[in-house]
Formats: sequence, structure tokens, C-alpha cells
Amino acid sequence: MHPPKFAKWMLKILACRRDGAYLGDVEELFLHRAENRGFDSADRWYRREVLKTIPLFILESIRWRLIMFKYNLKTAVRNLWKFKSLSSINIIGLTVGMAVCILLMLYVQDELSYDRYHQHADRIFRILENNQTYVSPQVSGIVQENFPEIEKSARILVRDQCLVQYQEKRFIEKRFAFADPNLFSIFSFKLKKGDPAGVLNNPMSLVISEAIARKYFGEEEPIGKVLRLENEKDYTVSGVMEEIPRNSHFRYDILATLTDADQIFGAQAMTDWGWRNMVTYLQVQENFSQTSFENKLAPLIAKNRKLAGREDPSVYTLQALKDIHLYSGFISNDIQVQGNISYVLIIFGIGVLILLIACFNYVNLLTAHATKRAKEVGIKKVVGSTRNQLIRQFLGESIFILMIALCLAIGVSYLSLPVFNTLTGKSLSLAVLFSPRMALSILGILVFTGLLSGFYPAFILSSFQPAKTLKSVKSGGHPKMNLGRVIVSGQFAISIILIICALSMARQVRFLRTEKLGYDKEQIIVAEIHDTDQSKKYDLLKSALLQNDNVTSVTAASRIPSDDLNNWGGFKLPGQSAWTTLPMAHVDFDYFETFGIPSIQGRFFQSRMGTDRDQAIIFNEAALKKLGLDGDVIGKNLQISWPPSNRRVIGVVKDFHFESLYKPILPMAFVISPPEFGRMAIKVRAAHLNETLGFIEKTWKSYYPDWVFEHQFVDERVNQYYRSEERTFQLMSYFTFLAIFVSCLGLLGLVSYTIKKRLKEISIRKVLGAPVSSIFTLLFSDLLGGILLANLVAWPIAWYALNQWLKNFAYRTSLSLWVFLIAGMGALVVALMTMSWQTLRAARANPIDSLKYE
Amino acid sequence: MEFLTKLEELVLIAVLKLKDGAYGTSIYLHITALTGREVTVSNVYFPLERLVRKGYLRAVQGEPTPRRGGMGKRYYKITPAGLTALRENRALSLAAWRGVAVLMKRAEV
Repeated sequence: MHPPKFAKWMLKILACRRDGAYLGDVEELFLHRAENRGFDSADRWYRREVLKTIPLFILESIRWRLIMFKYNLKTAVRNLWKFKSLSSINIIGLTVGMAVCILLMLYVQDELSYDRYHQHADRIFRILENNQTYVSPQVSGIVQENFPEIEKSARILVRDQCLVQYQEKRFIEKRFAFADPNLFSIFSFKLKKGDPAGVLNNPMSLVISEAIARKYFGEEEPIGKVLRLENEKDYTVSGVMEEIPRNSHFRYDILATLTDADQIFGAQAMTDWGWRNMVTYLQVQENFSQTSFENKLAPLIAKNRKLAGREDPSVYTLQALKDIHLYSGFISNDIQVQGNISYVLIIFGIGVLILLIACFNYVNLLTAHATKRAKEVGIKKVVGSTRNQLIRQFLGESIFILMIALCLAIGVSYLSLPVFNTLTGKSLSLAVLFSPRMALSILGILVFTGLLSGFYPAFILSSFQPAKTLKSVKSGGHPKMNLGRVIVSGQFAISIILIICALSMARQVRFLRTEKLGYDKEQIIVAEIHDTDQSKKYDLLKSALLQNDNVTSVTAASRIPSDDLNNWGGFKLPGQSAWTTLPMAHVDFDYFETFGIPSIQGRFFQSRMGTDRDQAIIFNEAALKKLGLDGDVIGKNLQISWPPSNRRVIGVVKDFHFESLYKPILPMAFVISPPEFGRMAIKVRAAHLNETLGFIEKTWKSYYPDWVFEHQFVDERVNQYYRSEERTFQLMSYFTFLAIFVSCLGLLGLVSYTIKKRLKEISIRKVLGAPVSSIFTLLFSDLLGGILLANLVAWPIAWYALNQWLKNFAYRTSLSLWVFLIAGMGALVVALMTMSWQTLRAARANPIDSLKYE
Repeated sequence: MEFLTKLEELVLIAVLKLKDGAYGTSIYLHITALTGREVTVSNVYFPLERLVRKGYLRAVQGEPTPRRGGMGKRYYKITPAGLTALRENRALSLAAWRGVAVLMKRAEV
């Protein structure tokens, strides 16, 4: 008679912590019961016994785990205290690495979150015309009427600025746009007041943000209040929206309706294919095919354009909403400065690299110090712990240290967040860290670093032979000291790559700021002018301003250098049938003089030549090429589309960088056309700048009393172009510094370890008469090879990465060999400095101190 | 003095009563007979192990028998400390129960 086999086997497993006495007792009880009450009863009892033991077993094993955990934790803490310098180097390195990683992850997360919050984000597109954001007004309507797959469309008409007035309050608002009512149903902007479906339906209505409501109306109820725009149109507030989130590709505070666009802008403008000012968004149906839609769109638009007499082709494409923020590099004049996926990748890469350096440090230092733990491992093995248990213990220890580092890292990143925000121009907060996705990624970092940095040391440490380690501690040693060197080289390679990139970026940024643009950008003030057909005050203002000795020149134009060239006109030479389109600027006399643009043929516009006003045109060199003109072009006639007229070429100016250095110089035409003037440029003397500015403001106000004076300097506007480069460069230099710092920490730890190991050798050499310098060289030569190797690895990688980056710019510096040499030397010098203190101390120590204990 | 749980107290008394024959099976049978309830063997083993840890019992390895699947017995002996603990707990119980019977009778009415 025996208990059921399977149940017996299970009990054996469940009773793992008890010895045979327990199993014997259970078996005896089984027999006892079988004899008294029969086999069946005993069988049932036995099975019940096994079942009831399961929960007890689980509780027991958890208790034992906890006990083991307690002891392992104790060992970990003791080791932390025992090797204070090693632990602090490890923890500081990991903290810096993780803090950097957390910050950069926040940054990347923010960049990737743009426009994702809209409910239909997947189904929203915007139309691009010739890779530009602005399209003609009627495109939206044509698309919506002819394509069933388009659910809704909405347009935005962007204004650089708008004068807004409520009673006595009068401000220039820069985040202002006109929009179709559909905008609020396509995008999920939250309305505090008003109904999203109908908020912009009424003519002359607008939606404002809460901040604007507070600014103009204070605590009063904003709905139904009237705001006067540009001193002429009265708009009624019909809705209040929450501020558009920062992670949006456009952010406006005031959105005025486009339902009455025909009255406001003129019906003619709204059907003018040449008036490209509308950003058009589409919401499409679920199973939408972008390519087939684009293929259908092209002929339809071409047909419509033909009806309106526009023969020149335009290419229309769609861009997905989710791509707008990061993949708009090819668009020259987006409505807002967008991000760039390559910068996001660079920054993400830097984060990963710094974390890698920190992990390498950890691996290296822990492995180097493995001998110190050899005795512990030996004794544990003798007492009977298995290799798996040891690996688990050391992995656990790594995770323990990583947890400490992570907590510190969260603290550090919290403290450095304000600085990071000013650097990046974002307003990130650590609150995001506690969102499930971020928490998961942080856990990911922890596990990644834990496994990466914990596994190898755990593997090495647990491999020690107990007999060897207990016989003589010194014979243990770093099993693969070569690996340590390779790791240090790898760290320095990463640092060198970062140094090279940072230096080259600095060169490019300086190039962007100092490169001759072909015009004079210093001391030129830009201000708006507000002339209507009735009041032509600009000429009077100009002569009034010129009365002041400090004002050297005044001009006006539709576009001035540092503006975007988004106004294209058609040009036709005699005998040509098709229009050639070129960007054009409608300018005033003195334009080229004010900006110091040199002429290479003919002359500039001159007010005493009566015909210059309506019959003259000036090109730049690029335009001649585009039009196919060469040789002497002065006096040639041609037809232009706006203002419709025949023009005679009177001059050619040298090419200059009208736009940023990202873009090649475009062909351009200049004509005089006062109705198009939007702004004036005033060249002043450097002396008494503030007084001159005051004078200009006073004079300006006396001519435009109803308007608010705002001014900009052209050089500031130019620098705005390169903000994102400068920011990336600044970020890059900070993080390069941190990378070097962490690498040096690792080097410091390794050098001090090497010196400790070779102390006896050094002492004997000294006793035999070696000078300090030769000992120094001995220790340093070890490192030299590693750093040279690091350079060999780093240079091609850096070269490749930088070339990719520089391709973004139409005008760029060449990569200089010097930068590479400086970076390599720099790494060497830093390494030398890091190790010199310890090395010198070792080399100068009294040999007696280390030899007397033998 | 240290308080014993009811089960510990019962186990300790069982070991005392069973004299030289106190081992897992006999203790278990004694307790199930006394309480009339079927506890699991583990439930008897936990107080046994705890009492050994506290030093109130000491374990002696016994001979294996075929009835036990070839496993040895483990006999338990009470230590002087165990005796003291038992004595103190008994005194406490007696003191606590003194006069309770009268009160209970009164409460019934």
C-alpha cells in the first residue's frame, strides 16, 4: 500500500525546505489512516494534504526570498561603504548618464508628441504647392467638392501681425490668423466657451484664447464683445479656446473667421491662383490612399487653373499632420519654425552614447575590482552556493546601485530642468515621467543598463575557482585586463566623436553668423507702414525721417532681405509664350542703397527718372540665368504679370542672400510698386541709436496715430534663422562636456586600480634607480595606444555624421582636419591630466611604504 | 516570560506527554485526537520548528523504518527552557481563568 505517486512527488517538491523526517511522517500517517479507515480515505487525505501545502509553500518561499534579499542587500551596502571611491565613481557616472538620458528622453518625447493629441491626427493632411505651405484660396473648395474621400477641409490665412483694439487697449498681436469654421472640427482644440461646430460660422466673428480674453477684457464676459482689427474691422468674440498646446505645429491666440472672406479680401482675391496665402488642411476618410489622391488632384487643379488663364504648372502634394513638425525640412517658408528629425536623432544618439559610456565605466570598474570580491565568492561557493545564485546576487547588486543612481538621476534632472528648458526653448516638466509610457521607457533604461552593466561582472565574478581564490587572493586578478583597455578606448572614441561634432558645429554656426550675405544687415530698423489708398503718408514720413542727421537712408518694400520670398510673379520675354515665375520684391527708391547691395550692370531706380516708377525692372544675376539672358541686358523689354505691365531692364545687382544660408540664392526681380509696400527699412548711424530710435518712433506715430509702433533690426532677424542650430550646438557642447567627464571618471578609477596593482613593481623600479619621469611614461604608454586607437575609430564616424548634417545647408564650411586633430589632442590632454595626479603620486611615493609589508 | 500560541502550547504539552515517543506522526495524531479537527501536517510542523528555534525543544535523529518510506524519524525532547515556558504559561492560564466559572454561570442566567 503506497500513497499516490504523483501526489508524493509533488509533496517532495513542495517540502524542499524540510528534510526526510517530514516526508516520513506524512507517509506513516498515510499508512496509519489506511489501516484504520481504509485506503480510499487515506488516499483522499493524502491528496488534500498536498493541496493544502501549496499556499504554505508559496508563503514560505517568499519568506526565504526576502531573507536572501535582506542578506544580499546587506552585502551590497557593505561593499558600497567598503570601496567608497569606486562606488562614488560608479554612482556619479551612472547618475550623470541617466540624468542626461532622462532629459534627452523628455526632449525627444516632446518632439515626437507634436500634433498627436488631435482625435483624428491620423487622418489630417495639409496641401503643399510646389513644396510650399501656402496655396491658392480656392484649392480647399475644389478638393472638398470633387473628392468624396475628403471629409472636411479648412484653410488658415496667416498674418504676421495684427493690430487689435478694445476700448483703450491696443496691442499688436503676432499669433493671429484667419480660419475656416471647419478648423475646430478637424483639429481637437478645446473650446472653453462656444460650440466647436458653429463658433466661426457667423461673419465677423472670432475665437480668442483665454490669455487674450484676460488681456483685453479682464474678468468681464468675453463672448459678444467687439474687437477692432487693423483700425477698421469690428469682430465679435464668439468663442474662447484653451491655449493651443505647445506641441502644435501652429499656435494662434486669435482666429478670425474666413466665412466672409469674399467681403474682407475681395471676391477676386479669393479666386486668384496667384494669391498663394492659404494653408489648407484636409480631413480624409479611413481608407485613404495618398498617392491615388495626389494623382487625381493634379489634372483637376490644372484644368481649373487653365480656366483662369494660368498656364504655369504647380505641383500639389499632401503632407500628413504627424509629419509636419519633424519632416518639413524641405519646406522653405513654414508657418512656424518646425523641428528637424535629424536633430532629434542626434540628441537621442547623444543620450544613448552618454549612457553607454556610463555603463562601460561600471562594467570596467567592477571587473577591475573583481579580485576584491574573490574571497567572498570563494567562501560562498565552498558553503554551497551555486553559480546561478551568485550571478543573481551580483546582478541584484548592480540593479541596487542602478536604483540609487536612478533616484539621484531623477533628482538631478529635476534640478537641471530649468536650465535645460532655457537651452532648448521648451517648457518640459518631469510630470511626463510618471505617464505610463515614460515610466515604461525609464524601466527600459534601467533594465537595459542593468543587464548591460551587470551581466558581465556577474559572469566574471561568479566564475572564480574557490580553491584558487582562497589559497592566494593575489593570483585572482582581472581576467581580461585587455577588455578594460578596449572599453576605455571606446569611451574616448565616443568622447572624441562628440568633441569633433561640437567643434565643427561651432564652426558652422559661426560661419552662418559671420558669412557675408551680400547686403548690409547692420543698423537697419524695420517697421510696418499702414497706408491705404486714401492716405499715402509714406512719402511724407520718409522725408520727415530724413530730416534727422542720424537717419542715413529710408526705403520701403513688400519684402526686405531676411523676409521669406513667397511672392512669385510671372515674366515673359518678347517671343516667349509661357510665363517664367520668379520671386519678386516690390520696392521703393533707395532700396539697394539702403541695403548696400552692389550693382554689376546699369543703375538703380532713381526718382528723378520719371519712367522708373512704372516701366523699369531690376534683376539679380541668378534671374538672368533663369530667364536665359546674358551679355548686355540693359534696355531689354519684357512683360510682367503683377502689376500687369511692360518693363525695361535698367540694372542688374549682384546676387545676395535674401533668405537664410540654408537655401541657395533664388533668382529675383525688383520693381517699384507703392501699393504693395508693407514695411519700411531705415538705415541709421550707430551713434545715438536710442535717441534716433525715439525720434523714429515719434515721427512714425505722428503719421500713423492709430497704430502701434514696433521695430526690429535686420541683423536680429537674420540671427533668428539659426536659432535651432545654435540651440543644438549649445546642447551638444554641454553634453560633450558631460561625456568627457564621465569617461574621465572611468579612466580615473581604472588608473588608480592599475597603479595599486603595480605599486610593488613601481617601487622596485624606483629602488633600482628609475626616475619619476620614466615611471610616468611607463604608466602613460599603456594609455597612449588606447587613445590613438580611439581616434582611429572616431574620425571616420565623426566625418560621416558631420557630412550628413552639413548637407542641410546650401552654404557651409568645409570640414577641417584641424578640428579632428584638436579633438584627438584634447582627449589625450584630458586623459593625461586625469591620470597625472595619481600617477605622479605613485611615482613619487617612498618605495619603502609599499615594500615593507612583504 | 514569552507567550506561547495555543498551538505551540498544545504541541509542547504533547511532547511532554508522549515522553520518548514524541515525533512528528505521534504528535500529529495526539493533536488531531485532542482537538477533533484535521489540521495539515505542516500546521503541526510550523510550531515544532518555531519551538526548536526558540530553544524550547531539541530534535534527535531517529532510525528509519519501512513504514516511513525509508525516512528517519525525528524525536523531540523538551528542554529546561521549554519546561519553564510551559510552567509559566500554565500559571498564567490558571490565573486568568480563576473565578471565571462562577462568572460564566452567573452570566448564563
